[in-house]
This record gives sequence, C-alpha cells and structure tokens, in this order.
Amino acid sequence: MSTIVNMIRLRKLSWSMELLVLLALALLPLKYGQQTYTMGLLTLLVIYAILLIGLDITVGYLGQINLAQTAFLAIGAYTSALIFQAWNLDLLSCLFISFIFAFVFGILIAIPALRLSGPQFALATLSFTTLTATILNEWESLTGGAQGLSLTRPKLFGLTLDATGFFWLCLVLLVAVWLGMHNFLKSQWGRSFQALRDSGIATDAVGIGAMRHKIIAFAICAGLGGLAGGLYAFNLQYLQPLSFSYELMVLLLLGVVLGGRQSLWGALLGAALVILLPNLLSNYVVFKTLTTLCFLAASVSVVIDLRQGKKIDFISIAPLFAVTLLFSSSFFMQNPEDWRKGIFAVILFAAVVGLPEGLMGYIERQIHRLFKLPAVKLPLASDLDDVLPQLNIQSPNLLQVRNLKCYFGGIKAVDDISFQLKAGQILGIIGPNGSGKTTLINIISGFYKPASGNILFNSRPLPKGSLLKVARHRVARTFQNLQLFNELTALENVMAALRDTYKKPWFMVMAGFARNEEHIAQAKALALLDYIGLADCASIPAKHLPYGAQRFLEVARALATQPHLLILDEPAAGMSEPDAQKLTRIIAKIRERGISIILIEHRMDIISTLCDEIMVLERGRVIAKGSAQDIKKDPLVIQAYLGDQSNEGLVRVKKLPRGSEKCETALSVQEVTASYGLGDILNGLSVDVAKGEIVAMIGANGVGKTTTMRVISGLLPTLKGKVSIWGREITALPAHRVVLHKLSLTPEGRGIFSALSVEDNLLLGGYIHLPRFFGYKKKAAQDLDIVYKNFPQLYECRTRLAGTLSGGEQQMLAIGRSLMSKPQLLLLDEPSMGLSPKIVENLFKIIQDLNAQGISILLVEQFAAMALSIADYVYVLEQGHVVLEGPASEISQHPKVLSAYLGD
Amino acid sequence: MNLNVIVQLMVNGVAIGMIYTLIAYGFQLTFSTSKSINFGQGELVMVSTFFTLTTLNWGIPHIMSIPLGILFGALMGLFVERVFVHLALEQKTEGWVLTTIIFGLFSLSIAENLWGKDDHPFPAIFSSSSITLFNGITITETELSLVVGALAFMIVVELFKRKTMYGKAVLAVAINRESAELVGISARKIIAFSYALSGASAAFAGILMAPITTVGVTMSTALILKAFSVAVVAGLDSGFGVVIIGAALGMLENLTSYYLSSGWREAPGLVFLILALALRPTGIFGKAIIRKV
Repeated sequence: MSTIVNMIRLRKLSWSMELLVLLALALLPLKYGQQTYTMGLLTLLVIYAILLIGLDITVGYLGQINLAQTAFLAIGAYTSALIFQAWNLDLLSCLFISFIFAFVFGILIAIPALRLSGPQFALATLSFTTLTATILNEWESLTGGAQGLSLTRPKLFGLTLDATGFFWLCLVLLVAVWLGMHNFLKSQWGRSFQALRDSGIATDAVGIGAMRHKIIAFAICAGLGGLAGGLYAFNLQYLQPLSFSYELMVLLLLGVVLGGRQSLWGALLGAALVILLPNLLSNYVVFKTLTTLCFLAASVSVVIDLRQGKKIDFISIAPLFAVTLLFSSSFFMQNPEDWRKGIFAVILFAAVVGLPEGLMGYIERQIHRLFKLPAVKLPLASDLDDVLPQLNIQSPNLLQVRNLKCYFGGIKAVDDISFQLKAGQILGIIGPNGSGKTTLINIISGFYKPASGNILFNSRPLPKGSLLKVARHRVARTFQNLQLFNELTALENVMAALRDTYKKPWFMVMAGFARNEEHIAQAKALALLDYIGLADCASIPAKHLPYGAQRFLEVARALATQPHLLILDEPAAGMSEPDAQKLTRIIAKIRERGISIILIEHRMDIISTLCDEIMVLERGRVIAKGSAQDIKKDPLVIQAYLGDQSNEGLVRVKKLPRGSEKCETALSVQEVTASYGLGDILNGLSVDVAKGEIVAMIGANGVGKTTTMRVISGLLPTLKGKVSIWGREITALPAHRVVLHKLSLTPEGRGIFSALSVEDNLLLGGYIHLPRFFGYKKKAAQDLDIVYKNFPQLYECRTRLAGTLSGGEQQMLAIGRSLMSKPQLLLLDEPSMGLSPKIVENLFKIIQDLNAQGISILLVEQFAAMALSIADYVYVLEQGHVVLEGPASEISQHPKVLSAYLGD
Repeated sequence: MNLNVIVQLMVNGVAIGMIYTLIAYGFQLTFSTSKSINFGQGELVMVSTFFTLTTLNWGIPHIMSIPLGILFGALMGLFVERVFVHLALEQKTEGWVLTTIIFGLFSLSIAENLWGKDDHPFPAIFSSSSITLFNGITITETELSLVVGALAFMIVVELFKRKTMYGKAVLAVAINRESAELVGISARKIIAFSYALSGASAAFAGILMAPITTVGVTMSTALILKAFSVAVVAGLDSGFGVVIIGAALGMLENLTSYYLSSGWREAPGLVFLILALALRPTGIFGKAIIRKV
C-alpha cells in the first residue's frame, strides 16, 4: 500500500515540479517584459532548451558525440527567414517548414554517418557544421553572406507578436516538445535508441533494426534543431553565419553533458547554464559566491569519500583540484567575464569527471535517496502462452545447412559444413578452441556472410549476412561475449525485444496514446523473466546483475522475439555449478515449448544431458556426429581433444621427485581467485612449479588455464590469493614489472609483433636488459645467438616481417622472444595451437631442450597427450580449480583426464 | 586554362598541405598507441606558437626559441594525456573526446587573456624570395621550409621509432599492447610519450606556419579540421598515407579558391571527407577490421 502512495507522491512531485517551473517561466515577462535584452535572453533560453532536447537524443540516448546541431540550428533559422521573406507566410508555417527541412537534412546526413561511431562520427558531423557555415557565408545572393540578414517577425494567425507574446509562443512550443518527447522517449522508441547505444549487434539480433532507428533518432534531433532555428531567427531578427560557430556547438554539447544526459530536465538545465553562466560571470559578487559554492561542494564530497574509506584517486581529487583553481583564481581575476570560456571549461571538467551522470542525474539520485522512493510498480505478469506460445512444427529438417564455407585470409574457419536439425530437437556443437563453432553460428545468424553454401529454414532460404533479417525469420541467438543492453533494466532488456507488441505508429506514441502497449509489454516481459527465474531482478540495470543472471537475461531476451530456433553460444561459460544446473533445466523447459535449439558448450555434462544429437567440429570440419555415448568412444574425437596419443619421439627425463630436500620452489600460486569483471573464472586455484621441472596444466576449454597464466604474468589482477616466484611475492605487480623477476609468458595465440621484423621481435624480448636508445644490438648479440642456436630457422628469416612467418615459425619466434628476457621460468600457453602434429613434436623437443638448459617450464595445453608425455608433474583443471594432480607418469592413464574433456 | 598556373597552384598547395600532414601525423601518433586523439589539438598548436612568439619577443634567437616551442608543445601533450585522456583510457570509455574538447576551451581562454584577441605577425626566419623550380614554377623560401620542416620532422620520428629501442617499444605497444607489457614495456609510459611527441609535432606545425598566417587565437580553427580530415581520410593507422592525402587536400583547396573563390576553398575537402568516411570508415590507406562477437 505504502508503495502505491509513494508512487503517487513521486508522480505528483514530478508533475508539480514541471508545472511550477512552467508557471515561473511563464510569469517572468511580467517582471522583465519591458527589458528587451532580458526578454531576448529568456526567449533564447527556451529556444535552446528545445535545441538541447533534440541534441540529447543523439548524445544521450544514442551515445554519439554529435557536433552538427548548430548546423541544423542554422539551417532552420535561414529556412524560416528566407521563406518568410519570399512568401510572407504565417509564423507557424515558417516554423513547420524549418522543422521538416532540417528533419529531411538529418536523414540525408544520417545515412553517411551511420557506419561511423566515436571520433569518426564526431568528425563527420563537425565537417557538416563547417560546410554549412561556409555555404551560408559564401552564397551571398541567398543568405546575404557575412553581412547578415535582417528580418521582421511574421504574424501568428494575423496577430503581431511583441517580445512577451513571442516568448509565450516559444514556451508553448517547448511544452509541446517536452510532452511529445517525454512520451516518445519513454516508449519502445527511446528504449531502442538506448539499446542501440549499448549494443548495436544485439539491437539487430533481437529484430529492432539498428539502421532505421539511428536514422530516425538523428532526424528528430535535426528536426528539433530546425524548429529551434526558426524560433532563433525570429527572436533575434538578425542572422549572420558567424553566430553558428564551432564554439557554440561545443557549448551546447557541454550543456547537455553538464545538465544531464537522457533527461528533459537535464536539457533545460543545460540550456539555462549555457545562457545564464556568461551573465552570472559579469557580476563579480555572483561569481565569487558561485566559485565558493563549487569549492565547498567538492571539498565536502572528498571528505565524505574519505570518511567512507574510499580510495582517493583521480576521480575524487581532480574535481576538487579544478574548483580550487577556480576558487583561488577568483581572488585575482579583475573581470571574470574575460575568462568566461576558461571558467566554463574548469567547471565542466570538474563535472564531467566528478559527476559523470550530469547535474540532473546527481539531483535525481539524491531525491531518490532522500525520499526513499520505491521502484516503479509493475503490472501483473501475463500468461506465458501469450508470450511464448506452444509451437508445434513437424519437420524432419527445420534447419538445413549445406556446404557452408567461410574463410578469413587464408584460414578456413568453416570448411564445407553440412547438417540438418529436426524440429523440436537440441543439437549440440562441440570441438576444441578455434574449430569454427562460433563462426558457424555467426554465419547462420547472419553476422558473417559465408563464402558459399546454403541455409534453408522451414524449407525457405535464410537471408545471408544480416542479423536483422535472420532475426525476423524467428531465429534468435545469444552471444558468447554478452551483448546485453547494459544501462537498461532487466525488464527493459526483454521489453526491447518484444517487437510484435508495439503496433501504434509514432505520432500516437508521441501523443501519449500508446501507454496501454507499454503496460502489455511490461506484463509480457515480466512473464518471460518469471519463466527464466529473474522476476526479482526486473528493475535492476543489466550491468548490475550478477554474472549468471546476465547470461539468463540474454536467453530471456532472445525468447522475447518468439523464436522457432534458438542458438545458444556457450551459455554456461563462467557459470557457477548451481547456475549451470539451473541453465540445464531452463533449456529443457524451452524445448518443451517446441522451440528447436542449437547449443554450443564446452561442459560435456550439459551437452550429454540435453542434446538429441552432437556434432563435433575440428578445423572447420565436422569430424563426428551422433549421441553422447558414440562421440566419447570415437577415436577421431579423442584425438581432436587430447592430441596424438603416440609420441614415440618424446622421452620423459627422470628428475628428482617432489618433496625431496634439494627440490626448490620456482613458482607458487596459492588459492587464487580471479575474474574478468563478471563471474569468477578461478576459484581458489593452487599450482606449484619446482625448479627444473616441466609442469603441465591440462583441461577443457574455459576451465581457467589461460586465466591462470594471465594472473601469474600480471596481465590480470588477482582478487584473492597469492602468487610468488623464487620466494618473492609478485601478486600485485603489473605485467611489465613481473618480467623483471626472471619469468616470461609466451601468450596464447603467440602475440608476436607482426609488423616488425623477426630480429626486432627478439630484441624487444630483451627490452628489460637493453639500453633504451643506441648500442642495443651489440649488447643483445650474445642472447640473440643463443636463441638462434635453439631456433636455427629464425636466423634464416631474421629480416622478414614476423607476420609473414608460418604458424610454427611464429610460435618459435614467440618462445624465442620470451627467452631474450633470460627467464628462469618459462610459461607457455597453448604452444601447439593451430600447428600440425609434426611441428608440434619438434616444438616439444625444443621445450625439453630448454628445460635441460635449466629453465623451469609451466605448460598449458589443450591437447593433453603430448603435454603428458614430457611433463614431470600435471594439474588437471575443471571450473577454475585443480581436480587432480600428480606426477605425469601416474596421471596419464587416469580416467579423470579424458572425462575432464568429454565428461563422465 | 594555363597549365603553368595550375602547376604553380598545386606546388603552393602541397606546401600548405604539409602542415595538415604534420598535424595529422600527430593524431596518428597517439591513435596508434592509445586509440585516442586530442580534440583540442588546434588550441595546442595555437598556444605553442604563441609561446614561441613570446620567447622570440624576449630576444631569444630563433635557433633557441624554436626547440623551446617544440619542447613546450611536448609538455602540453603530456599534460593533455595525464589530465584529460588518461582517466577515460583506464575506464575504456570514449570520454576523452569531451575532456579534450574541454582542454581546448580552457587553452583558448588562457590564450585570449594572456595574448589578447588580435593577430600578431611572426618574425620570419626565411625571406619570402622565390626559388625557381622548373619552367617558371616558383616556391618561396618560407613555403619550402614548410615542406622540408614537416617531412624532416616525420622522418626523424620514424627513424627514432625504427632505430632505437624505445622507438621499437612504441611500435610494439601500437601493434600488440599485451605482448609489449609482457616483454617489460610500460604501455602507460609509452602512451604518455606518444602524446608528448604528438604535442611536439603540433607545436612545430604551428611554428612553421606562423610566418604565413600570423599568430592569433583563431589561427588553427580551420586548420585543425583539415588536419583531422587528412588523418581520417588517409586512415588513422595509415603511416605515410597522410603525406599523400595532405598534399592532395592542399592542392584541391588552392585550385578551388582560384577557380571558384577563396571562401569556398574548404568546401570540396569537407565533402570528400564526409564521402570518404561514409564509404570507407577506416580510411583510404587504413586497414579493414574483422568484427567479432
């Protein structure tokens, strides 16, 4: 009950604030009506508010830095002015034409700007602004050029407007824009814009259509710019190209950011700041008060941070520093108005760093805190059958894939794959790293275009190379690297994908006649969240959800498109055991609704439980198909996972057993926990390497082998636990310091400097020992010789670019580069990846040689057999911790080794 | 049409184009290591040129004040990286676009108040006497200094990158940051260094150009957009592609202003920029990227 009361209170608070501000604005002319300057300024404030509401759509909702808004302001202004001069139209007609003209221009400009983002988009829009200014300046016959253009104000329905009347007109238009945009941006439109900002790929994948929405957002932004331009022209009654400068654009942009993005209030506040700040500065007392207030606010916030025990970093100290600069300089400044831009810059800097969500965002957060406002009340969940109707497709081949091929450079990522999927079944796809699983589903879902081959879905060809078109054929997918709409809540994530629910056209939405649809969408989304077990998290932003929940949310969002085929790409990656079991149950439930599923997963227990058929890929080809039992026995599959079993060429060297007195510890990893920001990849993993040993870590994909290597070498911070080498702790050291401790990692995928020569790569390997400027070659000569002795092939091609080497040579180069730092412990991450068995054998012999030269080695291998044949000691990993360890001679026959890859 | 006039215009255009190229090269320096650029680079050019002018006015000879100006530019570049770019890079956001714009605004204000809003002449080192190249085509000594200076600067930096260990480390960070860290290179320091180099190139571009354009707070407003265009049209990772595009833009501008009017000189370049961006976002000489999910 109290929540409802609170709700009403919040609603009323918001509306009464809006009314109050409107009233205050409307009454201002009574006081200032006689002062032309002040009235002009107030009118400009209202006009800028309209302009910034438009700009906020691209900057705030789309998240693009748009520097074209002054151009649209100019286009609108000149359009209105020239049309009025030519045809003497009514005021509203002039404004309407300005709006339409800028709107169309916005579409035209959006099309080339569509493929761009970040700095390129900023630059494209900036060029458009400059181009517009040039044209206005030079087309003198039309615009009057630099001389400018004087005009009078048109009549409104035959009435002549004075300054006050015009102000009220602007205010009425602002209210109209405000209400329209309020409805529009709170509807699926605003949500789609935000979705587009967070993940353009997912936007297409759920069928929203990134392209169309981007164009519409840009067009509305431009249209409002044009409308504001028309008003601008008749407010000032004088136009010159110089007014629409880059400087104004910067001020507008910063106004939006400072006011607060994605907020109508923020736009109004931003407009007020842009207009009023220069005038506040002209009064010394006001300026002094302002800086003092800023200074106090920043100090208080730092004190609060300190008392809460937060770390004092750049974010908390920089704003204080900036306003202190302002505060102290205010004592010396004779005329603050001269320093207008500088003061604005300093305030902005403080705000951008200290209040990244803008003033309005900050104020809203405080209001919510103070009034303890509850979450928005949601309707009851709708019936699941409305959202996810029971499918009953009878088809032996719902999906038919024929002779699919896809190449990247010379690599055959997918090499002639054919298969079919029966309706209502689950097809599992497994295979070692880089076998082409994700590429295959990227092709089916339209993310990549295949080089050749056919895909039939429901006996009709599936569009190629368009996520959006495939999604509209009711094929949904999730992503291995999550592509959630991070800033949206869980509920909104699902609502964004409920495309079929939104039927009302845009003008109805703006007029507020689509609220019903919104409630239906909420109810449907709730039903889906409930189905997937996330109903409690409905109003939590996706980025704040726990990792497992984020994975589930992607599944729920995919289901919202009512798919007939659902493609899941490693849904259990990084999940905890309970979550993985929950996932298994959910997938089974989804199949019961008649939805067919393709499941890529490394966890064999999940695959075995769920899949009707399993397909094994290796190097872009299908090497086996069948039930879980068949697959596990298939020698080709076992070889694909464990590598060649017969390694007569490699003989293990006898060493001192662990625990003997002379055994010295090289590396000790104790109870380490680590993650990439989401789920923990390592959970209390412990690994030791004794001096002189070759230690192997084996296990399936995604169990944390590479993560362990990254943690040891300092590329990834440790959350818990300790890493020490040669008895010294290196847990918190960054990678470039770890290497000073006689430890070197040869990373997965080799990480060579492809655009540099082989010799340069090696020299860089010795970076820590070499002089920074000259004479390094002489100093490195001896070490180079040692590497070339180990790898004679590298000497042959020392002047070639590393990128042109073969895979085996690149791997040798990567190891050679590590050797150049003269390590006592060498970490090798998947040295055999992508190499032929012959080369791998050769490589492993070299590894043994290096070990004989006294270098301890920690080896990570997916292909276990080869590693086992040279290692002294072995760790088997599952789900981020060690499940089995022991001397290699004892481990190699242990059944656990095979089950680590292919399940029990 | 007189062919000689066209060739003469093109030669003059190339001279100006080399300034665009040099600043564009500065953008590439930071983009290659950190995938960020300074949107306030124009103000950096202006402030550094003003600084050099001030040292000249103090009576310091050219031979000393020009290196001082370049050093000043390098320090400014370092300042930009530390204060305005570093945080955004740590957070892996594009916040640096906004903060470097703020840097520009701040510098502009400082310059307005320290040096005023008027344009100041910059004492020339070289005379404006012409050298005949061939067939009556001439180039002034100052123009020649632009070409030679800009190219020399880029060649020196490129030699530094290829011939010294520290330079190779810069390349290493640009190619593969993680591998660079693994061999013991501090990527943070290299990024800061690349900003310093970029600042130095911007300062030098301003100093080279100042005898022609005079020094004032708005001296680089138009210039910087062209440098941007050159960098982006060529591709932000295109290496010497900027030389060709810079020269081409300079020629195009000169021809436009001769045959149309000087007010239109920027227009064709901007149109080409928008088209180039739309058709090939990674630049004419840039590399295409494979998208991954």
